[in-house]
Amino acid sequence: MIMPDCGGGSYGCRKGMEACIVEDPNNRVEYIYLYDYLKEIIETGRIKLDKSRNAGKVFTWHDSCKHGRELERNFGKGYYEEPRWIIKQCVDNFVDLEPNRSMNYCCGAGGGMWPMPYEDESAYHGRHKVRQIKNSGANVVVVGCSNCRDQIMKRLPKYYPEDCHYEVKYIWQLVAETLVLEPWSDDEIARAQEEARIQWERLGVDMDI
Amino acid sequence: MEALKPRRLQQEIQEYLSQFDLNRCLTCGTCSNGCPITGTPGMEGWDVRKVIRMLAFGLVDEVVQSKFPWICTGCGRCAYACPMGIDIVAILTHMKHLRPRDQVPGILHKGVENVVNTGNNMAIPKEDYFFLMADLGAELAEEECPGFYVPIDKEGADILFFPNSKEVFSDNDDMKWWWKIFYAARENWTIPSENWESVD
Repeated sequence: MIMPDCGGGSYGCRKGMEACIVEDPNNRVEYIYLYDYLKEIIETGRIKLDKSRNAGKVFTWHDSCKHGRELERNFGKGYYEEPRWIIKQCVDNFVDLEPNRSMNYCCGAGGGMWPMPYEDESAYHGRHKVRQIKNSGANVVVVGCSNCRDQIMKRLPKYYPEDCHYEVKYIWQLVAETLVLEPWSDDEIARAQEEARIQWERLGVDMDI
Repeated sequence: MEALKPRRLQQEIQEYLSQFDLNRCLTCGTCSNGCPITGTPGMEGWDVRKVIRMLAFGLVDEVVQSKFPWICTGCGRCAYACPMGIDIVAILTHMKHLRPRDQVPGILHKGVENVVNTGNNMAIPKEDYFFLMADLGAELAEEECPGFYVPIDKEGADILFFPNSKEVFSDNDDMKWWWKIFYAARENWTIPSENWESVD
């Protein structure tokens, strides 16, 4: 299982699983966190990356509260170095926000704040983030959480239009955009197409619509 | 000014809060100092140090009825820095929990109801979910990844991937990034057909 990117989700998932296991040890499920997964497939060479695709831009990493500080506080380990390593396999120009890692500032969207009616407060909550990004000189902010991404990409520029001149990418988006795609063989393609055909038939999906 | 008399808390709340020794709070203010809410226009007079102190005095209702717990993102800067190790995040989260469900701000509770009833926050029906995966998967196969398709409930898969309902509902193309990665890595993966939501 891949531990989801949603900040609250990955935290909630772990808390929930703890409770499930207490209820019944057979409920234990092996999981791998998205950062560990990406790191593994890069390290073992299962995917190839071409850094030159990202030349000319400065990248930074936003440490999500739940993936970093809160995971550290509640489960003993925060994911600070893994995302940085992954990004550095994709880009040459990386800078850190200040402060960073466990001392990073919240973007303002977590805990339900993204969909809630308290937009003004959420944007105010994210004021430090705007300053941090500006001071770092980064053109691209890489994030691991969909709330963070929406906040930094959409809400903050709405409220701080003069100060927000950056792109936002998910870390897996960065990896996907940096991929060197090795095409599947004709055999692999044929096999997959057959599997797909059988599957859509089983599920009752009419592909000809 | 009238003297403040600490009130007795309801049994349930007392039991919950007694997990945290609020007497340990020194009112040092390290929490509110690092908290991004401090200084929010419209919340003058409110900060997390004060909220913890209010709870220690039994002023739970006042906290629950206020906006404060709802503009807390649970970022954890307070608890991380607290010299007495008080789990302020858990306490503030509980204050959200104490609101009757019909008084939860905005659409949050709708999402919870949806996921309990339909397995995803946006109440997307199964047929739509299947069709989207089939259709968008075919698109990616045509664009860059010949042979690609989205496996659903595949037996013996190594990786079980949970989609984000936001991407299933509207930002469909955003799903392609993970899909490309799985294609390139020739991963043995699948998504579930039911209860597939990944968002909290």
